[in-house]
Amino acid sequence: MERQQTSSGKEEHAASARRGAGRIGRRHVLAGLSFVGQPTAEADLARLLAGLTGRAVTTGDVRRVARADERAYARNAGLLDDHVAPALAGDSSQPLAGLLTRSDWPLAQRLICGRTLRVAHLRTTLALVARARLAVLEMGRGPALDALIRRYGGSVSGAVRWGEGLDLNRVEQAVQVELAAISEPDTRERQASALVLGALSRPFQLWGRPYVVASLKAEVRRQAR
Amino acid sequence: MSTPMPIVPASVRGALRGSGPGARGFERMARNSTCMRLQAVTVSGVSAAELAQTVYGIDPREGQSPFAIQAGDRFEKALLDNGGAELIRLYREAGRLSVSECRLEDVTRRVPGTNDAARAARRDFTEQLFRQKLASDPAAPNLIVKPRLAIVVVGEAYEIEPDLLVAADAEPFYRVVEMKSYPYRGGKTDPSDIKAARRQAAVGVVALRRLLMAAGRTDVSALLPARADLVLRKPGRAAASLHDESIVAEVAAVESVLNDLPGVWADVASVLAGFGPGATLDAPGVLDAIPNEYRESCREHCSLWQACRRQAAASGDPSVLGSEVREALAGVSLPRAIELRDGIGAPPSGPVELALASRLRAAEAELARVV
Repeated sequence: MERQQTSSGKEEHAASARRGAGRIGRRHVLAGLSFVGQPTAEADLARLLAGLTGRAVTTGDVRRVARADERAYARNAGLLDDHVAPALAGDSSQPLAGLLTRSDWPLAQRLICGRTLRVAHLRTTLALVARARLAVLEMGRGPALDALIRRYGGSVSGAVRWGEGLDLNRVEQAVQVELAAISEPDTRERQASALVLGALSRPFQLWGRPYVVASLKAEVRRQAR
Repeated sequence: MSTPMPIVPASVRGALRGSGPGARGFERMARNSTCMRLQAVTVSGVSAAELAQTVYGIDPREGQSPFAIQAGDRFEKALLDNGGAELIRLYREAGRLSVSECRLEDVTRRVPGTNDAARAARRDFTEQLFRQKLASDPAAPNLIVKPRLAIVVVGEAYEIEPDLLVAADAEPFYRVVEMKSYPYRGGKTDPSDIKAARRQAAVGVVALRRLLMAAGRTDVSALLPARADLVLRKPGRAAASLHDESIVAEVAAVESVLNDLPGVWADVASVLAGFGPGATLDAPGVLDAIPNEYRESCREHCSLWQACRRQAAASGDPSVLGSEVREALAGVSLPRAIELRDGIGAPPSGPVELALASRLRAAEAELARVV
């Protein structure tokens, strides 16, 4: 399937950007995370939301929403059904700065193991391809979406040929080949880590365990003696 | 006779704040390894720019332009976005990492923050990753972003953060990677830029080797050969290119500078001792008393160069006329060279002055014939 960028497409995108001008809100961030379905970096989510909604979205906008959700939970844990929550490290269950998930996802989906970021990247590429196949005119269609797919698919071997039109089938096949090699071991690692996380209290499951600095602890012990 | 108390580098900062030299500081030290003043300033952890302003009133105009810093940040961000997708592409295309070798660990994400506890936690975590790799743990990451390493210099631990470390599963240990946003134009790339990047990588290699030796490994050269990867921007594009570089000479230079430092610091301490207890670098006259070694190239990397050049000119040091003149005069000062040329003052002492006198007279005669 060949897609061409046209000047009318660019105009359409510019017009939609003007229409959608304004700050993004919590529902956009949650919807963006649902679209990806994987832990996503704030900066990457901002870029995705900008491409998909036509709004000018910065990393700061996404971070603002994540912080507001954390504060809301601290004030009243039962106030919201779901939160924008941090992704957690698979080996330590500690929060990873700048990586976001949804609190209503299963625990394994919120954990980051060695290959998870790559798997997330590949799954995001597939989600973008699926979105591009929806042949309806809506915000985010056109050059912005094509550019996103090119950008995401660029790192996948054989997905994008520079100087040629974007072939969604080729992108999808190339991504599936790489996913087949790394997705299953990643899922296994995340499920094993989820068992450990599942044994922790609910706040730790949501926001992660605190950091313990081993070398500082040793220093304090030495001083105490 | 009583033995003087050893002077700790951090104690000579005076009112100046300590910022730590970082890899760039150690790299600068290797550029002029014979300058005791540069080494004293670097080891004490104060900024040369701040010192130049405080002691000499010189506006240093040091450092990268804000535009260059922004361009560098943007380039690094583009490489690390989307789970390091661009980096993974580069290494796969170079045949260095396979499809399954995509384990990435960003140390700054693990423990964010700029306070001491966060920095210590990042260092601990980096060492934990190294232990994993040395134990051939299959879960060890292939790419480590911004690892934090400690390097002990004159009894004080300084910390550096290489841009990236990379290793395939089969490789025994990581290789240092430097990411630079200037465009790579083959032979037309500024050689000083490439050399600085290689020296910065060499600081990382030396720090890693010392860490491995401290962990009881004896095979450090085999584990960590003197090679580094440079990731540079392609001209006119945001894309990057990967360059596998041998940095044997740079590693040797950095190692030699760091090995000589305790001796150099002892000399600095004896100079400082002459100013009495509690002498600091920002006190009047102290910095001038520490011997320097002015070079033309100092202006590229040291904020004190104007003060050093002034001092060199006052003492008749031929370095002020450039490295060619300094080498041609073979250590003879400018006033003495003029005396030798004109045949005045003391007669030439030794074969060096004799040969120089005859060369200078021949050059003078040639100049008179031509002009």
